[in-house]
Amino acid sequence: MKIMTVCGMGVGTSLMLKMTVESALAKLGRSAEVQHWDLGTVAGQEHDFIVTSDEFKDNFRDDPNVVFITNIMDVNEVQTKLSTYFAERGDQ
Amino acid sequence: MNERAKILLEMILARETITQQEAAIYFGISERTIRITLDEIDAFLMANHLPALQKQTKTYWQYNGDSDAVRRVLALTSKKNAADFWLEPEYRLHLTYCQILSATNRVTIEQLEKIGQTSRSTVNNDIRKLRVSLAENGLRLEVDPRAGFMVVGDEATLRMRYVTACAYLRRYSASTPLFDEAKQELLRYCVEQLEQGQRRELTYESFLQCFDYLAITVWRLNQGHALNGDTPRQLPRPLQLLEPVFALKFTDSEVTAIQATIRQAHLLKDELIDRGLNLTLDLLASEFALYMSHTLQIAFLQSSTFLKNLTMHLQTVINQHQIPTASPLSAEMMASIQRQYASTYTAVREAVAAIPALAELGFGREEDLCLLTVHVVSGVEQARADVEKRLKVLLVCHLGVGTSQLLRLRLSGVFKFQAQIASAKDVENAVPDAPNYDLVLSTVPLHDTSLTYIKVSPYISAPELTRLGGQINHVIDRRLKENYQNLEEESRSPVLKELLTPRTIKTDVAAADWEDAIRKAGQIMVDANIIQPSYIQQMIDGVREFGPYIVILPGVALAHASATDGVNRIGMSLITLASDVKFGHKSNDPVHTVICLATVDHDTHLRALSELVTLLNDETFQASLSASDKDSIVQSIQTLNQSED
Repeated sequence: MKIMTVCGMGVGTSLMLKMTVESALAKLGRSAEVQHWDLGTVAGQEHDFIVTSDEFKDNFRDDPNVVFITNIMDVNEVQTKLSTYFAERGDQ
Repeated sequence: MNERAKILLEMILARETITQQEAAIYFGISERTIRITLDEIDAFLMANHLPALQKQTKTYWQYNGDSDAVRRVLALTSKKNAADFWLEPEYRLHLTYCQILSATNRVTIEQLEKIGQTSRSTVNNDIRKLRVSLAENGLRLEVDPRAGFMVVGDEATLRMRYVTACAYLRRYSASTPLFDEAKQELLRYCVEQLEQGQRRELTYESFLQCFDYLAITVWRLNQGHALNGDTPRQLPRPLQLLEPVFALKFTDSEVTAIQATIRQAHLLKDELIDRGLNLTLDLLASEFALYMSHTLQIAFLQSSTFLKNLTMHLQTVINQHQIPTASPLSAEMMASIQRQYASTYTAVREAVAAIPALAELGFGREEDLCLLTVHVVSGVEQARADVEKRLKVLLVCHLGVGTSQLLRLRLSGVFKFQAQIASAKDVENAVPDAPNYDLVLSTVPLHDTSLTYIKVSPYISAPELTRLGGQINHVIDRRLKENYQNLEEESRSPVLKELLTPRTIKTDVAAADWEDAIRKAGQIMVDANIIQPSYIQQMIDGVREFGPYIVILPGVALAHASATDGVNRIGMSLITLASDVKFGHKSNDPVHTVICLATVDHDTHLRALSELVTLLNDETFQASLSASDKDSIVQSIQTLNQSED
């Protein structure tokens, strides 16, 4: 499984989000490759799904494979949203 | 794993020797795709907690043992491919050439027809094309109506042409072996020995080309076509083996040509070959450069020119070691080098002793140490010249028009930098980036300025110029040291407390709005010489373009830009605001703390950033931020991880 965390620049916020996602995955007992990218180049990369900030909803309209996070440093929020996403995907 | 990866893995597991090229031919895909397939196999192995594939040099995978099955499959497929490609005109051209050369005497048109399974007219057509193509190389196709064809012309060209043709045919797994398997094995062994004698490791492709060269040499010698020359003074041992087996005598020009082919292998027009050999020398050169950088505290590694020259120098010396030539340095010159550049010479000797590969390659000889010393000294000179060219020098005169222009002209004749000009008034009213100048020269006394400047006369005299030169050298020395230290800093990933220091943290900062807050936080980094002012604007533009997502926590914004333009080195700054500002974030406004981040690449800041995440989740730290308590903010950062250490 390959997860992309995305922000505008791909160096700061996305890297923080990557850390949060990794903590959340550990709590969920899952492992995945998490990479941080910027908005401009992520589309060209192979991935399973994207995790990004609420602020980028407009950039990923109608894409079911994007998980939006309000507070990117909140491990609990990320954990909840990831498990919802996995459940929706039928991936228990 | 896909089907192809499975088959390839099975082939590898069957303990067969397979080259990237063979695999590419087998699957009918590019070598690049093969490498991707190998990556897939590695991913599969690692996912199953198995050790990954071992990639060998010369891009092949070596195994021991038998595997008739795989060999048969490969043989079958390559035969089929060869037949397919036989239809290609270019392929036929190369094959025809090899056929003609490998014929014991001449080759007849009937024989060509039979080999190629083509009609007489096709053969005639091919012969015509071959004639034209040979003429380009100054070779001729001689024909005798009864005996057949023969190639004549310059012997060396003729052989090289053969090597090229073989390389082409090999792409389709076709070959026209000149000797039986046992003799080929001997020739291969011989090339290997010569290769080792030159302390080289050829790529697989260039190894085969050297083999082809040796084979055609032996073949042509047997046919009575030799390169003119005398009896060699010393025949390399591997070639001694060949003489009785093939009943021939090598001339000295033959020996030179064979050695040169191996020596120049990487220079043949083939990327693979180029990469194969240069890489090791590059690594060796940068290892040496790194060692010298540390000793002399000059950032050699920054200069690609230095590394390139050094690589070429190593290459030349290694070649010279093969053929003993007169030393280019006289004993007198060597003594002079050792005397004049004593400290550099000592450093070079230490470096060579400390790098086993260099010592092993024979660079420990006094003469080589001297040459390397000269090399390093000129590298230092080059580094100094580069710094001098980029020095920021401000020339101040009364009005900034007359005398300073003259002075600039004068200086540009002596020094490499381009000076900027300002009037005394400008300077006294504070030139905005005046502190960024390396050197300020003034023809008039400056009042009301904190700038340190050197007073010069507008019609600068020779003694004054000499003195100025000394001062400039001093500035260059300082810059060189700074460059080196910056490089040292960059080469490791800093921790948070190295970036957020009392100097880069400010509390109770007044800011009118979010933009002003970023400016204030960014200015700290400008003052600390971490970023250029342009980077601040990029951070603001980032928020404008992508929105307020940088407010990562309630009350905390992490400002940064993606570009590394305007970043001198990795860094951070943190401010707490006298009164909160709004970024327009739905849930995390208002913002009390602004952190700025300057990055040099994708990941170097990872360690510091992950420490920041830990801290921001810490309630004590959050409280210190809210209270704008600088001492306890600094305290938290300094003591972070201390219990773990």
